[in-house]
Amino acid sequence: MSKIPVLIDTDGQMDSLWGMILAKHFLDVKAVTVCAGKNDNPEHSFDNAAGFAAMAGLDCTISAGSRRTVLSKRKPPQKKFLPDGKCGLKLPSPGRAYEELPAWDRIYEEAKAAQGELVLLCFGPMTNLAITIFKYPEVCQMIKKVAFVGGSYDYGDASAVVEVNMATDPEAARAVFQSGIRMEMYGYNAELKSAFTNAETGRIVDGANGPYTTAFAMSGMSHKPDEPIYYGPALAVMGLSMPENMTFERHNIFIETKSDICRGRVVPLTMYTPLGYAKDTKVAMDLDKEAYISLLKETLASYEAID
Amino acid sequence: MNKIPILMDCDPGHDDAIAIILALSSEKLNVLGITTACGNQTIEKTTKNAQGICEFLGRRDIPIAKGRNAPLLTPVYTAGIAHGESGLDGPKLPEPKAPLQEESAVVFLAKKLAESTEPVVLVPTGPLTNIATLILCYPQLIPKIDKIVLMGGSVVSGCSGRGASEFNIMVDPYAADIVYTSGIPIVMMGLDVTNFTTIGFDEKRKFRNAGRVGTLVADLTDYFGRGFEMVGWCGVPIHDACTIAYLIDSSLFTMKEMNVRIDLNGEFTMGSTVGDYYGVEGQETNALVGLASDRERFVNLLLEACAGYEKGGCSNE
Repeated sequence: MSKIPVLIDTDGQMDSLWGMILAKHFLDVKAVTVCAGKNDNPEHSFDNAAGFAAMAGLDCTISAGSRRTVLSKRKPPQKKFLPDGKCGLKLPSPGRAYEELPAWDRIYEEAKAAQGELVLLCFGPMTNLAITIFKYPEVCQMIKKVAFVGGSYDYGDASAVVEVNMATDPEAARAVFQSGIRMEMYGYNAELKSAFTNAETGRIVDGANGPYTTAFAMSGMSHKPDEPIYYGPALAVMGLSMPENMTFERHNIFIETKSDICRGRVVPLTMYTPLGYAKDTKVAMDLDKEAYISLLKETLASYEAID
Repeated sequence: MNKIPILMDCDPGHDDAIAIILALSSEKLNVLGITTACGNQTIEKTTKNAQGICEFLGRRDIPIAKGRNAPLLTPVYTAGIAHGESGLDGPKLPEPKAPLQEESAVVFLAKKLAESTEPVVLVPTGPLTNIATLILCYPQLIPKIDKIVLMGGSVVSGCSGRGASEFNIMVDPYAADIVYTSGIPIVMMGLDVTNFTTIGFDEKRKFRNAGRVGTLVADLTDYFGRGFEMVGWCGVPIHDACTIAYLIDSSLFTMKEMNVRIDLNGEFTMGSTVGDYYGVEGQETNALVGLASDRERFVNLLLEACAGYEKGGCSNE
């Protein structure tokens, strides 16, 4: 079966590497676009993303996108993957330099070229996608769906009920959700179910000390002892390419942007959803954890074998 | 055994009526009185319904005081679609004969608290309008409140109001904020637990076999259950009775302490109870939140309550 054509949009945090590594094997990656997103220093996002793409062996264009969020509001502080967003890892030189075309133009061009088949795989805040929609409203009819990491069906990590990608750029998320594009959500609720124990990370790494397994172990070690270790981008790639390993529900989702304590909250509406709104968001709820562990273990091992 | 003194503040409402039935049956509780709130229907209707239930149960001795006719700041919003034009459509209740208390709900609540020699549990099962007003008007009586065991809100995604909100909190979110920030211990039985604390559609026969009060419960669930049946549920959630069941036997429920705040300005989240399940924000906990129940034991508790009325009789004579 042919692989699903995807464009990866990332903010260059370490978990994107694990998404890219799985995507290289199980999806047809057409391009990578980058936004500043959650990193405190935007330059880390762009440097890291190029290095991650090279490490994953992605041979595609890479385009820089927004260095800001849609509104210039304060975003949550960076909490993960050490201050550089890459766990102090030394990354290989980028295989390709950033192209001149900005992210939103690249997204539009790839959507056009894929003739309705392109899936946008968004690992960070949806700033670049929102700007694409603002510039090219017709792109909404040209994209098959947006599979994104973020939001939560229940509780949050940035605040009580808000997940950090949504908290970083809620207006962008709202623009994408309102666009009519079909959405597929890999949120904090599912990420927590995919969280690895130290022993599970050990099983995936399997005692090896090659560059990929070492990086995976470092990725886990960058977490505080009581902090759950999960990699939403990897989960999203598994869900997209092997949906049989996950369970999903369909919901109407609205994005709260006006509340002071719920800004960025994903609100699944039920009985009181205004008529005319379809249940157009597929929400990841649970996963086959053993299948996920095996997938990562085998994929990392295959990278080590190549090297 | 000392009975727990409670004051019920409700907006009957079918599930409020069942909460009253359960409370007045229990040997563990001493119901000092009932006040009414504007919620499921207008204040006139909810008050008449509270009186009608007590009349039916033969309990003219329970003092009832009428509450405020509207939420504190927001317009009246009722739930006729769920509870009918009367607020208690379905079964026919007798005309109440006992007079209402002359004082308002808030003054009545204050009087009962002041009179009590021990702290009293408040049990609101409607919008929190009266309770918030009590807190504002009588701060000196707050120490007389042992805790507030309320039906309202939802910390995950269940919603029965607009957006992410539950009906009782949505109707008067400002009152809810006053209550949740009062420092009074709160036990919150929200939709997370009440939606799953149901009488199964196939269990109604057991209630009909449990006598006159059981038949009333079955009739109440007949009307209130219509909508739930139409959306594919297996039973009728008995939201408000979860508060009373908790007071009778807290082991029926799985609870978790957390900080809960009321959203007062969201577009989709206004009136939602924002529960910090994982303690992400590091704030002090202010509520013990119901998350799950032993449904079968809850149903048995209700059945026993109904059967108990048969033994004790239901007469005002």
